[in-house]
Amino acid sequence: MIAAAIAAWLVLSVEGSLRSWSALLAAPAVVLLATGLALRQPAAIPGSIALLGATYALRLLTETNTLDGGAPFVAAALFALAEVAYWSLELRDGVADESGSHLRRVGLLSSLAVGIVVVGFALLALVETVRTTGPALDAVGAAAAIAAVALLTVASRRSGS
Amino acid sequence: MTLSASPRVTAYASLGALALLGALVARRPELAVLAAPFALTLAVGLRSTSPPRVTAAFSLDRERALEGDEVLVELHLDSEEPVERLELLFVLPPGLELLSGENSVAIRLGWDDERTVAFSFRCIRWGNYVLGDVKLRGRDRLGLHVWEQQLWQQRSLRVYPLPETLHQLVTPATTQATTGNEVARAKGAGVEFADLRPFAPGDRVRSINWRASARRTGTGNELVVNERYPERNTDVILFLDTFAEARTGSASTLDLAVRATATLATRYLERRDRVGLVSFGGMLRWLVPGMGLTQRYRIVDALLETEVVFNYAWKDVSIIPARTLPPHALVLAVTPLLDERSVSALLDLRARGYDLAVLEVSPEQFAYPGETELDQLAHRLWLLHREELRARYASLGVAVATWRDDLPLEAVLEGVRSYRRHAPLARV
Repeated sequence: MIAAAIAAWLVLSVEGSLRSWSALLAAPAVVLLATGLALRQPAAIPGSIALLGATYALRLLTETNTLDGGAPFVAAALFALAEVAYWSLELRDGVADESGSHLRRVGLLSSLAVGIVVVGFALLALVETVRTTGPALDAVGAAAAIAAVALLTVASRRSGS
Repeated sequence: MTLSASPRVTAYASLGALALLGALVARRPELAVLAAPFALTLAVGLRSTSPPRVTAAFSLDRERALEGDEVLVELHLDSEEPVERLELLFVLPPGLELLSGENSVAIRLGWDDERTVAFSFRCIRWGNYVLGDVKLRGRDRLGLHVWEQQLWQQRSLRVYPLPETLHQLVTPATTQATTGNEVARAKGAGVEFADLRPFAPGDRVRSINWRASARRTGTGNELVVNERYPERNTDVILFLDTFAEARTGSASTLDLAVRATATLATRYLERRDRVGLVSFGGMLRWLVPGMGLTQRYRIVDALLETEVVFNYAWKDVSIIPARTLPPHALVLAVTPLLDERSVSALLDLRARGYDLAVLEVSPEQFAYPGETELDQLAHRLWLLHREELRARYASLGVAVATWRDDLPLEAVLEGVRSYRRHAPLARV
């Protein structure tokens, strides 16, 4: 339901002819997530999140060069969706939780979501302040991409340990 | 302890990288904002990967129980470091059923925290259980790492079969020489009156029946003494057939047979009889006849180890040690009469002159006729074959009683007793 709500929000926020293309991305995301949860396949979760992210990226294409203030909320929503989806899979292990654990987890998730929104706005503010184009931005982007790949490598190595 | 990354790590790393690359390609910093939560979660969560030091120990409130009893388990957990979510699973082997509480729970441990998780289970089936397989799985706060640990602290739990109600036993045809509770057929010193006979030199004065002597005063002035039956014990060999069993779900002929054997052993030993055990099957086990509480525990403990071991080798009674089958012993066979080897072994015992009675644990309640006409025909033929088998034993003077789970053992053994009272032993 959360995925459907986010998908609907993302699709409805797109205007013009791209709305149908957004729907074509968002609908499989919801279906993929629902199927993955039903079949207990955690691999479906990042795929679904990626599709929803692509829907948001499509919306960005229709906008002008001004920064979208809704990005931190989309980030928080997608992260919360991923966490809730993994939580849903964990709950199916048949392990009885002690009282209060769910409430604690909801609290943690809410705190993280608020933190993500704050960090997101901080990042947007930073970008707005130093916004420029050209090789400098490309260099920063390339560094970020290399860092991401390095992070992925580290994560994979730890997964194998 | 094994440390592994949860599926989140790869997923978040992929999503973060994808969003960052998208930001680079599309030149939209908003996509980098989308990558931020996933990348930051990984950056924070992957800092520490040291597994928590969790120690666990458990205790049972008893080491021996009867079928149907409730056993309480307390699992003590101790951790020096906090564990956000610690899942523990106390593996219950088949035959034990969770009664209250949870044997699979998730808890949270703080700094130097101690917790006790209690639950209870019910013993469904007799057996010798080894408990202590405890699986622990811990997760960090962000759920990025999973630590798994298996604790194996062996603790045994003996679950004894629930005894059946049994007041009267099958009386052996012949008693032994030592004192017991069974009235012997031969005359001697005892309590039970047998007959009168003329006084003979050497007879004790207290055995003179003065009333009878007075009635004979006019005939020849002879004294008459009482003759009595002595109380003797008997030798009983419980012959448990473990070649094959019929099973449906958790119930089987072997379960019933073990329960009946344990009950019979207990009751015979309470009468101060000597009881031995022959577990005749793929694996031969035996206990020479003995008396008392020690022998009772020996027999019941041996019964707990009973299982059907498939073996295609032909076995007959010649492999049973001779001292296990003393002369004049009552051999009480508890068998489903499913395997030809045990059937012929019992016939062989009867042919060797042993006093034999058969308690047939009926496999018919575990066999269903089937749907098709052919299946039903086969079922009827099988039932006829079993009837013929019983008739073969009956023709040799062997009482065969069929015990179903819904019948009390007392009533079934009454059939054996009445048969043995009226049917003469056949010449073999």
